[in-house]
Amino acid sequence: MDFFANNIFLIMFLPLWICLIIISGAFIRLTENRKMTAFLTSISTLTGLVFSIALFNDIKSPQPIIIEDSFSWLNIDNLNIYLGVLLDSTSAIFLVILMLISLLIQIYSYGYMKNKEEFNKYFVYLNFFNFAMTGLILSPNLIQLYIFWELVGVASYLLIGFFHKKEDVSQSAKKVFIINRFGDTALLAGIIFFAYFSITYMNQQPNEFLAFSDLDYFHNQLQSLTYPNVYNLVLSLFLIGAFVKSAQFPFQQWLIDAMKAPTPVSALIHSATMVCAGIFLIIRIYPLLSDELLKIILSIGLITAVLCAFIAISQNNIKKMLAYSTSSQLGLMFTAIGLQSIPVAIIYLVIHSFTKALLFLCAGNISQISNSIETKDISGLRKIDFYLAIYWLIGALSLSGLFFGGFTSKEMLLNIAENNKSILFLILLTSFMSTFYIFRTYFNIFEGNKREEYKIINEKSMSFALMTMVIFVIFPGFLFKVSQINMLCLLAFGVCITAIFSAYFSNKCNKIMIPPLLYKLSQNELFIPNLYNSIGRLFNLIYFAVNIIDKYVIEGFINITVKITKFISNIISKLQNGNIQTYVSYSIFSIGIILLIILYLYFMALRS
Amino acid sequence: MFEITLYHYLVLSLILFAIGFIGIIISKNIIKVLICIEIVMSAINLNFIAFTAYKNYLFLSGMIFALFITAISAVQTAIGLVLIYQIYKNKEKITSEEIEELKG
Amino acid sequence: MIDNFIPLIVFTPLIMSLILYSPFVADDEKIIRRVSKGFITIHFALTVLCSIFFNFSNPDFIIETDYQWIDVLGFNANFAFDSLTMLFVILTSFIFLIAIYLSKSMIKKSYRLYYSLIFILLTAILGVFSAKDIFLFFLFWELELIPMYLLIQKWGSGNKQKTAMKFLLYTFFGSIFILLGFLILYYLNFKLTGTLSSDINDIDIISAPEVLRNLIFFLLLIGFGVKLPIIPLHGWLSDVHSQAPTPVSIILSSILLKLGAYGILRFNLQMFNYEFQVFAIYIMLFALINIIYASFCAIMQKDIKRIIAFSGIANMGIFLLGISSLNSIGITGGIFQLFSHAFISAGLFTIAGLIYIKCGTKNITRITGLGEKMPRLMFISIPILLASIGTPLLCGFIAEFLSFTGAFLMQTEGIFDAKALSLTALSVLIFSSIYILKIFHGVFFNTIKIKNRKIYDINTKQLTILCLLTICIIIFGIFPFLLTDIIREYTNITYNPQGVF
Repeated sequence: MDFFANNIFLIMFLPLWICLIIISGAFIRLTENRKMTAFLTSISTLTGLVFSIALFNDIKSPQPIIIEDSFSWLNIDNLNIYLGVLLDSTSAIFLVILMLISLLIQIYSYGYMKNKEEFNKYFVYLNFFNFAMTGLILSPNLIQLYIFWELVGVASYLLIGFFHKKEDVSQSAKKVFIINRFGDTALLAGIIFFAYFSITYMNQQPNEFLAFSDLDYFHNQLQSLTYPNVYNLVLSLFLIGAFVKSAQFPFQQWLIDAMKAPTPVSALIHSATMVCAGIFLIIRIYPLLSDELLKIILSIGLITAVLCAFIAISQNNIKKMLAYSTSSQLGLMFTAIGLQSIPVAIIYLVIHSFTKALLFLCAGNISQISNSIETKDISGLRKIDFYLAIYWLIGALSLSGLFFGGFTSKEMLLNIAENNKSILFLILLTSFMSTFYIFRTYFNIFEGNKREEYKIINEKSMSFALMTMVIFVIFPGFLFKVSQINMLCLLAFGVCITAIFSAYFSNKCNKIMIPPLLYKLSQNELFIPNLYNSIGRLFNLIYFAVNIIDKYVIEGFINITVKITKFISNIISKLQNGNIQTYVSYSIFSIGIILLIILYLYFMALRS
Repeated sequence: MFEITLYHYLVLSLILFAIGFIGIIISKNIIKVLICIEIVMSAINLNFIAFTAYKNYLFLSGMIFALFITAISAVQTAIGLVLIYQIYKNKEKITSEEIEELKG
Repeated sequence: MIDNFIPLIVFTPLIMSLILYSPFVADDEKIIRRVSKGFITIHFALTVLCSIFFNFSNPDFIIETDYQWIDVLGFNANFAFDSLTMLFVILTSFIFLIAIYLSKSMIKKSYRLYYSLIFILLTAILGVFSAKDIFLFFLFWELELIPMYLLIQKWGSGNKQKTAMKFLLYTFFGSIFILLGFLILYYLNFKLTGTLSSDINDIDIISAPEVLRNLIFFLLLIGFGVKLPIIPLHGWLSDVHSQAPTPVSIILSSILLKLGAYGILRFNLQMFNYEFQVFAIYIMLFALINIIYASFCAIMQKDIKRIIAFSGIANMGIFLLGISSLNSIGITGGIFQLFSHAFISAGLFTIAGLIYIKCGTKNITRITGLGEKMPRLMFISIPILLASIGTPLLCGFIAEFLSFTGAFLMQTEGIFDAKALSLTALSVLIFSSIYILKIFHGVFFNTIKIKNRKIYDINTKQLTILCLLTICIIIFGIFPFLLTDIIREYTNITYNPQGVF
C-alpha cells in the first residue's frame, strides 16, 4: 500500500495532464476523436478512484495512516507558504465520493454531449475541475485550500458559461462568479488575519504555517491573544466564505443561476462536489470554532433548510427545484455540524451526493426526452420510460428519508437533535416539505397522459451511469447500522407518508393547499433575486457617480487649465497686430522706460 | 544776437529726431515712413557733426560715423524702395494697415 | 569584460534606428520588418546572456560603466546594472519583442519611421533604468517623450492629435517637478559637501534641514506620480491608451508605467528612506484611492482599451500598497506586481488590439458573439483575463496576496490604520472581476451582431505571441520563487544608508 501513499500527487496531476493533452491536440489540429477524449478522461478518474479506494482502506484499518507531506513554495522572511498533501479520514472519504461521482458523470456526459459542438472543450473543463477539487481536498494548509477554492470557482464558472451563445447563460455565469468572488474575498480576509497572527505573535516551525494539523495550538494561542468578539468576528469571515460556497441563506442565489449549466455539470458540481467545499472548510477548521460560532452555523443552516424547502415547493422548473433542494439539504448538514456531530454531517453528505446526482441525471434524461424542464410541459413519462420513473422514485425516497440511504442519514440527524424540541420541529418541517416537492414533481411528470412526441433515449453510456448511480444510492444505506427504531423515527416516517399523500392530492386537484400569500412568496423565491438586482443597481449608481467625477472634475480641471491658457494667450496675442510701427513704438517705449530707470538710479547714486 | 552754441544744435537734432520718430509711428503711407527714417538719420548726422564742430576738430571717429550713416542710409533707402515696390505689385496698396502678415 | 554589456544593450537600439535609414536597409516593407524583428531577438538574447553572467544571489553585485562627460559640473554618464535594473532590462526587452512581432498586423504605413522610433524609445527606457546619475536619468526620462508623441500622433486612432499633445504636455508637466527636485538635490549636495556631483552614490544630504528634504521628496513623488499614475494625476492615461496603436499601448502600459514605479523605488524609497517611512501611511491611503476609484471608473467604460487602462491604474495602486507597507513581504509583493502586471496588461492589450483590427471597433456594446467565430482567441484569453483578477496559480495572485499581507502586517499609530486600508483594498478582487467579466462576456458571449464584415480567427503567429505571454504568466504563477528570491535580496539594500546602487 506504500505505492499509493507515496504517489498521491499523481491523482492530482493526472487530470491536469489529460487536460493539456486535449488542449494541445486541438492546437495541433488532430482529428477530433471524441471517444478518445472521453476515454482518456475516464482513465484518469478511474486511476484516481483506485487510489482513493486503496487509501480509504488504509485509513479505515486499525492503524490509520495519516499522510502529510509538503514542500516550500514561497518563502519571504516569516511568510512560508507550503504546498503539499494531507490525507486523513475526512479527505479520504471526500476523495472517494469525488472520484466516483466524477467518473459516472463523465460516462454520462459522453452520451449527453455527443451531438453538441465543442465536446473537447467540455472535457478540458471537466478535467480541470477534477484537478482543482482534488487539490482542495488534499490541501494541508489554509493557503493551498484557498488556491484550489478559487480554481474550483473558476472551473465552475467556465462550465456554467459553456453554452455561451445564449444571453441568459452569460448573464447567469457572470452573476455566479461575482457572488462566489465575494465569498472568496471574505475567506482571503480571514486567511490574511491568520497569517498576521501567526507571523507576529507565534513562533512556529516553518512548515506549520497555517497548517490544519496545527490548529489546536493555534486555537489556544488565539484565544489568549484576542478579545472573544474579535476572535468570533475573524472566524465569521471563514464562515461567510463557507456559506457562500455552499449556497446558504442569503447567498443561495448563485446556485439557482448556476442551473443554466449543462445538466451533467449541475449533477457534478452543484450538487455533489463543489458545494461540499464549504462543509469541508468548516470540518477542517472545526477545532477553532467557539460555541457562539457553532450556534451561528446551526441557525443559518436551519434557516436555509426551511426557507429553501419552502421556495422549492412551488417551483415549476425541475432544475431550479433541485437547486433549492440542494441548498436546503446542505443547510441540514450545517445543522449537523452546529450540533457538534461531524460524522453525521459527513454521512449525510455522502448519501445526499449520490441521491442528488441521481436526481440530476434523471432530470438530464427528462430534458432530452421532452426538450423542456418545466413541469407543466411534461407528463406521462412513466409510460414511455418505466426505468426512469423507477430511478426517480428511488432518488425521491432517498431524498425524503424514507428508505435506502436517506433513511439512515435522516435518522442519525434526528437522533442528535433529540434534546432540542424547536430544532427537531424545524428538521421535520424541512423533511415534510422535501418529500412534498419531490413527490409532487414525480406525480406531475411521470403520471398523467402520455404525449405523442416523446421517444425513449437509447444512449448506452447514459443508462449505464444511471444504473450505477442507483446502486450507490441503494447500498450505502445498508452499511450503517440503525441504532434503534424509536418514537422519533416513527414520527418522521409518518410525516413523510403524509407528505406523499398531500403531494398526490395536490396533483389531483391541480393546486397546492397553502394560503395564496405564502404561495406568492414561495413562487417569487422570497423576492431574493429582486434584492440582488437592487443591490446591483445601487452599485451602478455609485459607479456612475465616480465616473461623473472622473469625467467632469478631473478632466474638467485639465480643461479649465487649457481654457485659461487659451484665454490669456488670446489676450496677449492681440499685442501682436502685424503692424511694424506698433512694434517700433513698443521698443522705443521700453527703451525710454529703461533709460528713465537708469537715470533715476544714477541720480540716486549721485546724491548718496 | 545770441551765440549759437552746441546746445542749440543738439536741441535741433532732438526736434528733428522726434519729428522723424513720430512720423515713423504715425504715418499711414509707407513712403512717408521711409522719408521719416531719412529725417531720423539726418538728425543723428547733425548730432555727430555738432559735437565734432564744437568740441574737438580731431574727433575723427564722429566724422567717419557720420559718413557711414550717410552712405548706409542711401543704401537703405534704395532697398526700402525696392521692397515697397514689391509690396505694391502684390497688394496694390501701400498703407500700413494693409500690411499685417505677421498678425497673431 | 562583462561591463561592456551595458553600452551594448543600452545603445545598440539607437544605432539600429539610424541604420534603418541608411542605404544598407532597402525601403521595402518586408526587409524592414525582418531586420527589426531580427534585431530585437538578438537584443533579447543579449539581455538574457547578460543576466546569465549576472550574480543575482549577491545583492551588492553591480555592473558599472562610467564615461566622462561634463566633468566641470560633476555630470558624468555613469551607467550601472544592479539586480532590480537587470530584471527590468530583461522585462523591457521581452515586451518590446512582443510589441515588434505584433506590429506586423497592426501597423500599415511608414514602416521605417515607426521602427526607428520604437528603437529610440527602447534606448531611452533602458537608459532610464540603468542611469546612475540624476541628470542622466532625467535626460533619458525626457527622451522617451518624443518618440511616444510621434508614435501616437501618426499611427493612432480617434482624436490622435489632441491625445498626443495631451500626453506630451501632461507628462512634461510632471517632469518639471522631477527636474526641480533634482536641481534642489544637486544644489543641496553642493552646499553640504562642497563638491559638484550628480552621481547618485555621491549625494549625501542627510544633514539637510527637514523642510528641504520633505520638499524634494514631495516634488519627486508628484513627478513620478504623473507617470505611475497616482490619482488625481491620471488624466492622460485613459485617452492615450485607447487611442494609441496597439504595440504602443502595450509598451506604454507594460513599461512606461513602470518607469514611474522605478523612480519611486530608487529615489523615494531608497534615497529618501526616512521620509518614506514617515509618510508611508498617507501613500497607502493614495494607493487605496487608486484601487477603488480606478475600479469604479473601469466598470462603467464602454471602450475595451479604456477598461484595461483603468485596470492598470488599479494594479499600480496594489504596487503602491505593497511598497508603502515597509516590510519585506509587502515590498516584494509590490515589485512582483510590477512584473506580473507587465505580462498581464501586454496580454490584455494584445487581445483588445486583435479584436479591434478584426472588427473595426472598440466599443463593447457593438461587438458581441465573437466566441463562435474566434474560438481560439476566446480560449487563449481565458487565462490572461483570469490572471488579471487574481486567480491563484497565475502571477496576479502572488502579487496581490503578498501586497495585502504585507500591508496588513504594518504597525501604525494615528488615524489611518493599515489593517483597515488593507481590508478595504481586498475589495479589488470583486470589482476587478466585474469589469474583466464585462469585457469577456461583452466580447465573446451571446450571438454575433456585426453582420457586414467577415471575421476570421486569429492566425498562428498571433496565437503564438499570446501563448508566450500565457506561458510567462503561468510560470511565474506556479514558480514565483524564481523572481521573489531576487526581489527579496534587493529589499535588503533598500534600507542601506550607504548608497543607492
